[in-house]
Amino acid sequence: MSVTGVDVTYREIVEFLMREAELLDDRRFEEWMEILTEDIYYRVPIRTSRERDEASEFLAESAWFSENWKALQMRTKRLASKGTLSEDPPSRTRHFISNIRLREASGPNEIAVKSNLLVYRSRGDSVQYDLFSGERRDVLRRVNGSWKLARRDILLDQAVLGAQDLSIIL
Amino acid sequence: MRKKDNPTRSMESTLEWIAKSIDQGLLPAMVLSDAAIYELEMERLFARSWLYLGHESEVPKPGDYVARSMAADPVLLIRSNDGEIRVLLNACRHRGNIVCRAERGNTTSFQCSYHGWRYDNTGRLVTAPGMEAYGDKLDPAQWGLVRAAKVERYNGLIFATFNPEVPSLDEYLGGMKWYLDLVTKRSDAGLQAVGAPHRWIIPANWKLPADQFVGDTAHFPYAHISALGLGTWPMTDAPPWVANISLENGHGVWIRGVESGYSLMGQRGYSDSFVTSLKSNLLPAQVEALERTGSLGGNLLPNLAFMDLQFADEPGSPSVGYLSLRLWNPISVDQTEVWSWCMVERDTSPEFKDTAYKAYLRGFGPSGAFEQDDMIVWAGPTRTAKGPIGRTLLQNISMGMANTKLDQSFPGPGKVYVNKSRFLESNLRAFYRSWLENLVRGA
Repeated sequence: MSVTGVDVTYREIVEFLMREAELLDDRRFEEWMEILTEDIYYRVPIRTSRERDEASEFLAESAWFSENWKALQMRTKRLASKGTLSEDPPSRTRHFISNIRLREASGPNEIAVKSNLLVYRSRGDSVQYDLFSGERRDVLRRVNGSWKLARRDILLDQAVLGAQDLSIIL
Repeated sequence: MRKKDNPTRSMESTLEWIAKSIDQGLLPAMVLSDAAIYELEMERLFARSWLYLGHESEVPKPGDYVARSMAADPVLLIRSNDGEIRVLLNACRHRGNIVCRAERGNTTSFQCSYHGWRYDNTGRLVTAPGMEAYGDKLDPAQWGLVRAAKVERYNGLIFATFNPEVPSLDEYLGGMKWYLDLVTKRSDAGLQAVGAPHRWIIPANWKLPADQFVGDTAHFPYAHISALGLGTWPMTDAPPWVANISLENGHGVWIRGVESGYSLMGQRGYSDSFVTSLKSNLLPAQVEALERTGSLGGNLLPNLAFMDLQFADEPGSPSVGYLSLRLWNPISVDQTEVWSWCMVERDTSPEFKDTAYKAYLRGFGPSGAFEQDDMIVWAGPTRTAKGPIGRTLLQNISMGMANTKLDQSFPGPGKVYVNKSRFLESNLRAFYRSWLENLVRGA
């Protein structure tokens, strides 16, 4: 698959996303922060059930996450610190990224990428687990020869969250 | 541990035993896990009380509706064509099918998907297919969607009940009105809910978040240590003042603030004109209380809570003030659906609203730094109250019983308890006392 206007291969993008998932699942949060651009925005809007033909289910004003670089830095710092009850013992996550589609370029060094997201999360000795399913809409930007994440919107497939928290990074 | 369990012990004597325990500063763990107590709560407390539905800003135009829950009863909060706000049980009067399956929208009528019964947006039955088959026995006036017996508002907050015997909202709120004014009456323009509430399911008995929000000021440095270290919580050198304020009907408020004569108003990020309007809308005593208040929160029995906070949206930025409203909606004895709203005054700037929402979101809601850790400490007691031994235990709720005193100098209503060490559980005991009175009274 190729997209006009950008010198990119599908494989590069897949490898980027696979590596990013590994960083998150391995809890290597400092390294994950390094693959974000400084102007990163990470947003997961709230959705409410609407009748068909009505306005979009997703809201502009409300979100589960709405984070710039500083907020993500704050989040990852907390995830790594002692005393974080929700993540000590740490959650176990497994990010499954599939249906990766490259979309139009927004410049010679940027590309929009859509993918499907499934995150499994379990804790402690509980047999309960959470499954977060959604569509990721990313913008990747090549900075000094390497791809970085400049923008992420995740459209979750739930209105009421079926989990007790979102202490992980989706 | 209490005496050997008597399986034939009546509910009446159980309630008596719980009452005596509370008076001694002890709370039987079984109140968090007992199925019969839960059913009694549904019947004698939730079915009979004023319950919170939403804010009028959530249904601004005629036809606007949002789907809400009153315990296990699905309802519609709707502004009818005549402008009046109504609360309708979301159950067709024919066979009980859910009449509206969206969470929000705008409509002039509802049609049941099962047999086509049609209602207007006041709930009145307009027509039922096969009407003639009932002869003259299907009177539309009798067979509309069930309406809440009473729907009343306080400063835009909408409450309702299906119990026609309940005293007025004014009486139910009592002294809590003074504290609600502090957070809902600052501006003539009133509040608005920012977008839609967060809704999520937690593995906890509903009373755990309620009894924390009613007065637990002692848990911050422990449960929330990971969030306090992030640098978004505004600091002050002024001498601290922490209180539990007990009001009528099981309501309680807590304040973490400063001594009289010091002001924390600057933490809120309000414009000068906003502060001016606040000072003209509130009583001088309320302004004085608000000046001294850093964080303020409370719980109204049974399950409406609020927090008025100031936080920065990110480290290094100035803090801003926002209000969060909460509903702890019971799903089962060990599961609760949390509804959480961020509220801001309508006439603040778009930038202020945006920053306030981000400050709220990064601290609260399921991804919030503070909220996440509360889920852990509510799930824990819910779990341990279930086992054959755990359910027989008595929890220690006596903190501060020996050395808490009333602060007569505070300008607000209610019993204002303070404690030099700032550790007190006065509101916790008062919450459970009222909770119990409701269960006993309903007998």
